[in-house]
Amino acid sequence: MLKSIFTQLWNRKRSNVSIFIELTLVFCVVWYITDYLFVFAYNNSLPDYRDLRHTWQVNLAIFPSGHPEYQAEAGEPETLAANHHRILQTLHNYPGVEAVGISNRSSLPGSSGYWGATFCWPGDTANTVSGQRISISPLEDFFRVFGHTRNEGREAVSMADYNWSDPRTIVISRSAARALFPDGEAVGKELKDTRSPDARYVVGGVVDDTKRLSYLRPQHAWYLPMPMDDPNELYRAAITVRSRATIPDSRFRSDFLEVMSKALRIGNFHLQSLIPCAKIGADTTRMFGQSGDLNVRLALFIFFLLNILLCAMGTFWYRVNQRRGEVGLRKAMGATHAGISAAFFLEGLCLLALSAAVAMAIEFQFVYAGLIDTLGKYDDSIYLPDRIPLRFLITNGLTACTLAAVILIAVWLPARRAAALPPAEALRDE
Amino acid sequence: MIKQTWNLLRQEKVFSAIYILGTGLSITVVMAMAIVFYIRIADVYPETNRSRMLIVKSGTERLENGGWNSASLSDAYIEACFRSLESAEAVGAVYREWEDEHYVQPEGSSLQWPVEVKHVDDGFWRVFPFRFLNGKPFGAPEFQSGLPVAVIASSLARRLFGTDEAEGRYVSLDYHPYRVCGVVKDASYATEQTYAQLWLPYTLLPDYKGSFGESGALGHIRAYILAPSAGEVGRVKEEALEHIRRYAAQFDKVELSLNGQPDRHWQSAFRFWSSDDPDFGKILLQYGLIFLFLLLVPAVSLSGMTDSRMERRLAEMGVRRAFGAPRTTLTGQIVAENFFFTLFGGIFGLLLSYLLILAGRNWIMEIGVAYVEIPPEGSEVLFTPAMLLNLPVFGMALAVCFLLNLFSALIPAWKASHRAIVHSLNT
Repeated sequence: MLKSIFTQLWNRKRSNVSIFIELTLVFCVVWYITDYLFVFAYNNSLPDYRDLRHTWQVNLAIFPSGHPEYQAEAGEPETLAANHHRILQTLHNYPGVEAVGISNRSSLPGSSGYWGATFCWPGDTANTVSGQRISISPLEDFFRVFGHTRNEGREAVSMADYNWSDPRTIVISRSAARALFPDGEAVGKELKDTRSPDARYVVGGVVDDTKRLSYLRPQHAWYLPMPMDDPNELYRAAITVRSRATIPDSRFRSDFLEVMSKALRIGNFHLQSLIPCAKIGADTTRMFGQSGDLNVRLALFIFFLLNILLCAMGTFWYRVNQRRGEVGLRKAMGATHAGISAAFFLEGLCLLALSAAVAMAIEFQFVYAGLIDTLGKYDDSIYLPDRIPLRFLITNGLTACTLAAVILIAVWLPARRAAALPPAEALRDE
Repeated sequence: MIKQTWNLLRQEKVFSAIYILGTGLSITVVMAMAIVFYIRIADVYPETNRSRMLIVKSGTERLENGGWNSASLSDAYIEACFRSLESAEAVGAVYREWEDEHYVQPEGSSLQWPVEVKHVDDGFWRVFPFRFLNGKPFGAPEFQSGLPVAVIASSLARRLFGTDEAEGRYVSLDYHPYRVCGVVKDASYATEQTYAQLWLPYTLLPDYKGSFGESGALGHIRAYILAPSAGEVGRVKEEALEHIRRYAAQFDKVELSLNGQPDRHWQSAFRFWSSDDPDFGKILLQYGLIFLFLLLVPAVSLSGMTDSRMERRLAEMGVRRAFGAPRTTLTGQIVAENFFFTLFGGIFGLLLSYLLILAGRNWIMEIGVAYVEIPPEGSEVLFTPAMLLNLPVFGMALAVCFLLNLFSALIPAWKASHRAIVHSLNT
């Protein structure tokens, strides 16, 4: 049967040229988008050992000096610190709040700001490891707010699990520990900040890896205590809370805003806004152009698939009309409906197979020239998308399956029409 | 010819529907992109002077030790280089804040509303001709004295006061009271250079005179220079470049560069990073190729379909050729007949592109943007009828139809009219 299909294709080479070119072009473009979507989906599937559900950023602001509620004495460092402490107590006492955390703003999950740091073990200064510096207050429970874990998610961690009374304590991510100490235990080891060689830290613990944004890979992270004795830090610090999972987010938000708008008017502080932490990451993803990029690629993906659908449908519709005699004859010789339809389906799939071979040769040139990016590639760690030959096969397989499905849908209507032709009527045309 | 096309359409309903759908689909995508770029580049309210505008977003300092700084510009630099331009009709400036979360406190409510605020100078109102529904913009005296006055958008005025007649009333922003001096017709977030719900003099900011770096040129401000006419933009740019050169010449140890700015408005739409000097020729070529590719891919399939239709009409071609019809006439007729199909598809595609733009209004303006400004919670990108329904957009749609028709019909028409008469008649 295959031989007869290829003979048919060859005999109609003139009308097959355009669909072949179209399929080849579309195969290349759809593969390019599929490759991006594959890496995107893969990165999203990588575990992010923290939980941003039911977490909120509590934004405070200061009354301006002309405001009736402004208190000049509340600007004094001691009063400011005391008022800040009262605010934290008020948050702890709010019935819907489970935990409170304080961090630098750029240390918030999904923040657009990034504070990098590079560390090494003094015993091997050649092995330097860079990652995100996450500055957190040991007085509150940042780890609990964001559901950080250790042992691959099996054990929840809390700030209280580590000895922050030693100002040299640093908690590091599992990937950072592996990069610094490939053969041994990290806890208890000394670390040196390469940018301030005098600053020494001691690894107090290792927590699971997190991702800066959901579409990126896990990154190295350094959790360092945030100095809270500077009053300016209080203004800059970000307060976060975890609400109880049993309270729906919308209810928590409306209740919190209503109650705390009054309750948090302490000194010159007042509540400005309550932002879901998941929104911070979503906004950053959008700010970096990633959301728009994804939407455009999805829109083009659909556009090209619809193009091939209409192209194949139109071409096969004409083909069925032109081959009425052949169809009639085959039916008169006993061919079944399914057999007639299968011939057209196979013809479409053979065309796809031919164009896929040419398209893969073109794609290979792009891959060979290094023109294909890997979204979120971060360091030397090897993930599935870094195994280029395997990724090439997987993404081409996915592309072929997608286009095959589209071709089958496109050919289905003309093939059904051909199969339904009464033999006598079809043969009358001859 | 119209009658013949109509008959063809009726004889081959399914095929014609597929053809028109295919055409419509390709025109949808191309037109959606074209409209997005039209809104970004053309003269649309309140940025109706884009065609005679120059924009300076940033500058770069390169230091002797190999380091560099880049950012927006300082007030002093804008004053020295741009406000002093003799050939310019007006110069406006917008202060860009690092943290720009602002809230309005409505009277009698404990809740606050997030709003988009822009800190601007008095020249801003001459460069961008907002339509004042009530009151007037703040002028040079209010700007220079740093008076707490505000121009607010009509939507905010109605939300706060229930009316556009808000001149003289007070609005509380971040617990500061501001006297409303004017109410303007809303701008859309699609015109992000000017979009805000509240505009304040930037002299209200305590650090508006601040600068950083070595030359005192870098700060937080962008400049918008208006030429008297589109034809005089080049002359204004020349004068600006002279001022820029003169300012930079004061420094021996710092190389100050605006990376090719001032830009024309369309160039500025492709400048995202403060230290970049984009190659606009390359950018135009890239977008041109993308447009062409988006047209070519469907054109190949449409060409295949036209070719199939021509095969069925070969006998007709043969007869017409046998009776002396010239090849060029036949080719022209086929292309013209096909144009009607393309035109039907074009109308369908244009309508679909409007739908796509409206449905994707919250992300579609982000096409081709490397750094997206996030609007405040609850705000949406609004498209006015003037942005979507206008002669340039219809002209573009027609041109796209013409191009697509040429790509998809010329080769099949040429092939059909050049077949040997005997072969055509035999079919």
